[in-house]
Amino acid sequence: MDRTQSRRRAALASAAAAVLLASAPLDAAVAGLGENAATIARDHSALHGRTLTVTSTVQYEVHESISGDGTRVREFAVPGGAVFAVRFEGRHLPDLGVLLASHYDEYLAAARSHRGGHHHFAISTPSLALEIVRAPRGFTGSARLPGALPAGVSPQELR
Amino acid sequence: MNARSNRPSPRRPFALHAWLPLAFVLAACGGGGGSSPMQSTTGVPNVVGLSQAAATSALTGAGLAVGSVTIADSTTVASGDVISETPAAGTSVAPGSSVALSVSDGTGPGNSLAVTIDAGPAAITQANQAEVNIMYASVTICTPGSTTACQTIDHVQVDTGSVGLEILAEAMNGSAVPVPVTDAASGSPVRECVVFADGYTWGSIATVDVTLGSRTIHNLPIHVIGDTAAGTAPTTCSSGSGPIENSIVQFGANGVIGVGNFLQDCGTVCASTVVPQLYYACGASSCQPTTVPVANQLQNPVAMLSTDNNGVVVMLPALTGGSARTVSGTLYFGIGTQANNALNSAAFYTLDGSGYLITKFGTQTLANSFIDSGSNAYFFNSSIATCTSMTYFYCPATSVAESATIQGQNGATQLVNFTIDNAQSLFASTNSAYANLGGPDTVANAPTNSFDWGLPFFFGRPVFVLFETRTAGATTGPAVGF
Repeated sequence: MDRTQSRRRAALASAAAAVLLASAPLDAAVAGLGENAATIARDHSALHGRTLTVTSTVQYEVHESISGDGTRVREFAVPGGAVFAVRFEGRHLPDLGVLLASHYDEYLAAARSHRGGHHHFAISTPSLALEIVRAPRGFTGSARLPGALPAGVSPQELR
Repeated sequence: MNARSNRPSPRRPFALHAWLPLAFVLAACGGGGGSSPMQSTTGVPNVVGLSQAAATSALTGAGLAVGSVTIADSTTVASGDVISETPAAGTSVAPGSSVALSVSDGTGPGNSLAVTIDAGPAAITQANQAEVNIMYASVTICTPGSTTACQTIDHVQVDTGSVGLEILAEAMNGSAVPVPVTDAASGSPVRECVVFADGYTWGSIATVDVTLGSRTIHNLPIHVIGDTAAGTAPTTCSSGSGPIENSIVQFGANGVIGVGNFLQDCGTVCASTVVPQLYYACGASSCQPTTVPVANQLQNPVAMLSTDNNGVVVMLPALTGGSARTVSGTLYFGIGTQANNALNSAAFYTLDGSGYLITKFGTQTLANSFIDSGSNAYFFNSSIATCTSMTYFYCPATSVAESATIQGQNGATQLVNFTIDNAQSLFASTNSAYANLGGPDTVANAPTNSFDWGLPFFFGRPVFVLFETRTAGATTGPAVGF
């Protein structure tokens, strides 16, 4: 079973082809926070998931995927627009490079100086709010772009 | 509310097979209370502290008989000496009466491991860094089958929030040589990618003999972090997993001993399904994610012991004034199996299959909550101000008193009070242990749905970690007791 981690590789790789792709250039245009909802289906593939449901309210769409081990990812997007929040829960940590997209480097820098232990991580900046919990057998977490939430949408309702 | 365990008898039952002078012991069970026509009585002599032979002489010399002899644990009375006698010294009894003896085996039950909280391993302190609220123990690893090719590794983090023993290759001096575990299908070595919230580690799965305190586990699969043989992590491990933590300074410890609620780090799922970012079989040219039989996965070391293997108890003292430079405590193996690991007045709160219980905090019902010695603070969702530089800790202007209710999946509930102090002010000291350290589980109420009861929860209360499928009293794990 393939477990390639970016959309680029998911688009190309078959079960045994990961090695061929290891030297391919990083594709900066993966979906995730701040990117268009039209790319979400490809996200789900990159995350080893299949699209489970798409539901919508007046203010946003919720795209949910599930992977083979039961890990669920929910992406919240403005209808026809950009992803402004993600939430995940399950056995493994989804590829944060895919989920955070251009904001991944922010996480990387913060994680390098993080002294809060291995089981818990949280940062909050004007551009990114992110928390990750590593439980005994699984992960839960969420990320969002604080300035990109549609008017009237509270972080608490993004479950 | 199946929340109480049977209390163990205060002394370990006399194990006949463990003692060679069996005939001697059985012979001592004779005697009788023959009545004397004179109706006289005899005072029982004091034989406590005498050797068993001297006690026998003293009793028979006084016209009495030696009754049952029980071997019991004691670290204060020398091996072979009498701990107590029944009836007690000075009691008037009929001539020829029997006096039962309790004789020391000279040891404790051996079901414990000393733990400390301090600034961390030498590599950390030499880098002018200090860890906060990390509980460590020393663990001895040996080449399988050897009692001399060994190394004792200090500052291995004791973690009730993970499962399995992991040691950094950087902390190993080569005395003990782990034996690589290979994939049955391909013959390739098995390696593991362990992902955390703040980064990941990569290294070989290999077996060693492990000694915890006085207990040894043979051929235990462990994760050797950052070993040369494992080389660079495959991109499927490293991609999107945060920074690598394969050095002692990055990892914050020389290793981790995971004694959480599960028997393996993954379990049956990984035996049948390839879980991303976990186990790999590494051939000559590439590493491929793989399934791994349960027996080859990282095992909960305490669950592998032959006795005292149903769980652990973490016992840390309360911190006077809320902080301390160093703290000494004990990790006990087993729950309700010895006098030292009795549940007493604690109750069990059972967990779901992911290891979660429920926390009710204010208006929040947080279904993904857990109690975890591997988290260094209370991490929860609150409006308390975070610190400006360390945004992962709380920095209230004045101490904040809080309370929350922990609820097990079995419905058992308990209100827990705790205090949050200003982390920035706390860290102005040179202390390493803080009872009132907290941080945001979520930023501005985003819904991770979790309350992480970290190490501060453990100060001043024994915390019982009951393993899955194992029982203590009427409770079957996974469960946490306090």
